Amino acid sequence: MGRREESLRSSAAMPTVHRAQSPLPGASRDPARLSGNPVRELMERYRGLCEQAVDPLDIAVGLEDAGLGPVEARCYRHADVFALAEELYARFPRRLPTDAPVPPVPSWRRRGGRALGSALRYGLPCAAPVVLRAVVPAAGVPLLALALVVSGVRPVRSAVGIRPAERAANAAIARRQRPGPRGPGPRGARLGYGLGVGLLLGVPVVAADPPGAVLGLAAALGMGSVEWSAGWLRHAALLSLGSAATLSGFRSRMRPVLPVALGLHLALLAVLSFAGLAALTALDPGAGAGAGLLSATVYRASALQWAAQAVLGLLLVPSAVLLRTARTAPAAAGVLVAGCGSAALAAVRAPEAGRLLCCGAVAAVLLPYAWLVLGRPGAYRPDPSLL
Amino acid sequence: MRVALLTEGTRPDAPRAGDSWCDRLMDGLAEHEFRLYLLAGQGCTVETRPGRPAAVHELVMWGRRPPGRGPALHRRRQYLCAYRDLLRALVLPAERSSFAPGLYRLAELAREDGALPAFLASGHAQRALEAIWRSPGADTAAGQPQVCDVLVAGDLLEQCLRPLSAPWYGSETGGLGSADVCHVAGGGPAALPALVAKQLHGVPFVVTEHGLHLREQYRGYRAAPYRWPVRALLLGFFRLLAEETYRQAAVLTPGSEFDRRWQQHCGALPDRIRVVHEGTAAVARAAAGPEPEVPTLVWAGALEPGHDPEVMLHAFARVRADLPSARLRMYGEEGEPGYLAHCGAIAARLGLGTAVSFEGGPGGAGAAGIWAAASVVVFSGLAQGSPRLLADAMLSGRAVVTTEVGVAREVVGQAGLLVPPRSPQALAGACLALLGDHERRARTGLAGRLRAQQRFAVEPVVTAFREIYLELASRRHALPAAPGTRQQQRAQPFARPAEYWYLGEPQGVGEPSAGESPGAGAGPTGTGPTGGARRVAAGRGRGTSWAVGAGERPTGNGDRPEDRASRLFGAARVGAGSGAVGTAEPGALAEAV
Repeated sequence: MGRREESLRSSAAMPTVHRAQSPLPGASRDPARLSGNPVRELMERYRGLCEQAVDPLDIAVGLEDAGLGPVEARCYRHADVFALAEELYARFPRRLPTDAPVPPVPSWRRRGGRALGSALRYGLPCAAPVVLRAVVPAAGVPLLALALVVSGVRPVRSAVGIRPAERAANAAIARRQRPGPRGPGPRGARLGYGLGVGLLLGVPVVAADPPGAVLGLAAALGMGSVEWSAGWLRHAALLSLGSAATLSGFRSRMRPVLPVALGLHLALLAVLSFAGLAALTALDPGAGAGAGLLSATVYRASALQWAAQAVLGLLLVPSAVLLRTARTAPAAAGVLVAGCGSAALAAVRAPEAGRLLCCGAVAAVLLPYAWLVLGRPGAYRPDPSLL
Repeated sequence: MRVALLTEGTRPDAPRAGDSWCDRLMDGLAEHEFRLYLLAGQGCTVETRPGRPAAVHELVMWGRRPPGRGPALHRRRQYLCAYRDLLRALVLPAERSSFAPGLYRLAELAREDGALPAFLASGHAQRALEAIWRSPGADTAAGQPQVCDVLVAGDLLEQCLRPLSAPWYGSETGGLGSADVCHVAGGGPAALPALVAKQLHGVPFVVTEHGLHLREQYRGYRAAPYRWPVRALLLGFFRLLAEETYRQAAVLTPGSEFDRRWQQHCGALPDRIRVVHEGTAAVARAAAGPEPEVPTLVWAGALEPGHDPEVMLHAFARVRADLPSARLRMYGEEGEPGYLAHCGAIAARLGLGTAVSFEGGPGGAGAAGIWAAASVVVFSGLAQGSPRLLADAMLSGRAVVTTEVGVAREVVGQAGLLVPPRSPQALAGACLALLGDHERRARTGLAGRLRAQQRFAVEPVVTAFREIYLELASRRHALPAAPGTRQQQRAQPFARPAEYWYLGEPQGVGEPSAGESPGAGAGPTGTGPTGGARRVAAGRGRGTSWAVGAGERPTGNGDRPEDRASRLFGAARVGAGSGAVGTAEPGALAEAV
């Protein structure tokens, strides 16, 4: 501003006043005095405007905003501002900023905090019935029903209202991308998703045998890992959006992300499950008494139970990812079908097999679908103002 | 006469022709039946007085995509072909001519199944955009468009093309096909329905722009948070759309010579352009009272670099050196954060002290209160795209000094002083010349008031549009001929017989004609004579079934004979130049507006 002020102070002496019909430009506007080629002086003054103009009209608007009109254009040997702008556009090569915009991505601390909070939100309600069953083994059906309600409400509420800000963002994305006829509305879809997750996590902890309950508790704690995986996937997608040059490049970058996230989640789930079973074995050796803790822990749960636990992990990650990429209807439908199916089969005394069957079937559908969806850049809108 | 008034709601980055102008027009032309077609943002409410206009049709622009499925598999290829044509025209200089065919083809497809918004948001459209965007020879290839640019540009194009999917293109009552004239206020996407209506039904349209839409887009996109390729693509779209609009419009009515030059540069034919100044209700306002005792300069405008208040402060420092009793009152809100403090610092550095006061907005007294506090009104801006503020100041009767930019020369003429921009010396000289000569000041102020009253009264605007509507309606054919025939090419005045307006629906109306969309041909009941006549003509040839009897007249929706007769007589009054509005007092009319 100081430079501008100085130029204003030191402006050359002007003719006092001129009327509208006497278009005499001021001395400071006479380019011929400054150089042999008057346009060159103009080029230097408006270099940035000319280099980044999209067409001559862009320059013409800039010149008019800077106070140049037809009178001044004549001083530069042109009939009007448009002709002057065309010369400037032709004489300047385009020098465009090549910096790609980096979409705002949440920090790893924020993702970690969310994951921890999610683990606590799902894990604590599921731990309550497990502890209750350990303390009062003969609580009876009413107590189990009460525990089911207590443990079931929280996951449902957690799933329905994942977080106010996130819910708002998801709702905005859902409104933008998948409106109306694509499926039930966001509220209905989220309710279905919450019910499904509640059934998948709640039924084992209140109805299965002790190893099954412990595995259910591990799966509930593993929801933190699910949350982290979904957040990491979105983070990777946003980074790829900012750096990928083509749609195919974006897809190729996103291709390995879901398998890696699944592998990490399964590994963590295995660790949690093993730790839970080890704690159970240490407290109550059961049939494996006498063997080492490691082998007793491994054999405490059946192969069917381990397989069901893995399939549950394979189901929850893609469904959470779909929920965060505005595909709420498939996510909710898949989880709800798996949850209802598992609960129904658990009622006919085949809990692990039913879980394996239902979750496996749904995961077989949801996994490729989520993998395809993640490769579409439209799932991540970079400009929230467009929503 | 049925006039379809198409306009776009305001948006933060692109101000358009104000709605109040539409209200003034509708009030002034009460003998015509106006229907308002509004492209509005989400949550925008339309406030209309009872009965004016006859109907309001609204389409939500600028927001989430309307619900709907994409096109069926067998139609996707047609959508892709049309979309590629449109995109090639935007980025390939050699393919500019494919803009209009692509646009009209997309409009046709959108009318048939309404799947255009969903298609434009699909991966197929994104891939097409990316491929053409990065193709060799494209204007935008140098900008290295990224994936996020494809998404943003696709979304913006989808929003801009949304009017093509509007359910307005039928011939039934309420459709654009039943209108006699389309009037586009503001240009831009609001012209899309008029273009389609002209192509589909032959409805002529007039475009009014107060502050060119295209120029505002260039300004707005400079500050928008989009990368260069997105800017280039969207501005290319608006430029080609403006060119097509100017090419197809029957009459263009810019608000100033300044806008006329722009329209002419963008391809408008000079003989189709008629400058119609924007009427203002302030012409009825009384002149400002006596001047303040202390010689006072009043500056008005937003406090931002574009309005150049710094030059005013420097000029005032020179004025004060010669006239120490002078005062400067600066009215205007802060247009850029921190700029008010910056101006205050400059004033302090120049030693102006209490002689300068920053008054903020006009407050309760309005603009008239601002001008009343002045001996001389000063504008020092670098650009004057709209004549509103200048005209308002001139109507106060105060002498005006302004920089010679934009519309200033044609508005002020010889009734004020013009100085070059960025020149405090010239500005100070003009202010001193007026402040030191009371007689000259009074004479200039009076001349300015008379000039503004003459140019910016409402009545000439109303009269001009009354004549334009009549002229456009008289040029239309009674019954549209087949495309390409000699009769269609040669327009004849008053080719429509009186029966066209007065009599009822002809026989054989219910048959949808070949080449018409299902929406356009639907619904034989409740249609006006215009739509019925067009359908019959298109289906069976000109005038083959004009056997109209009294018993065949429809009875719905304003098609009673007396209504049609009143329309007819209204048109006759217009032709005779003795309409109710035409005989009203200018002051009373302005008061009503």
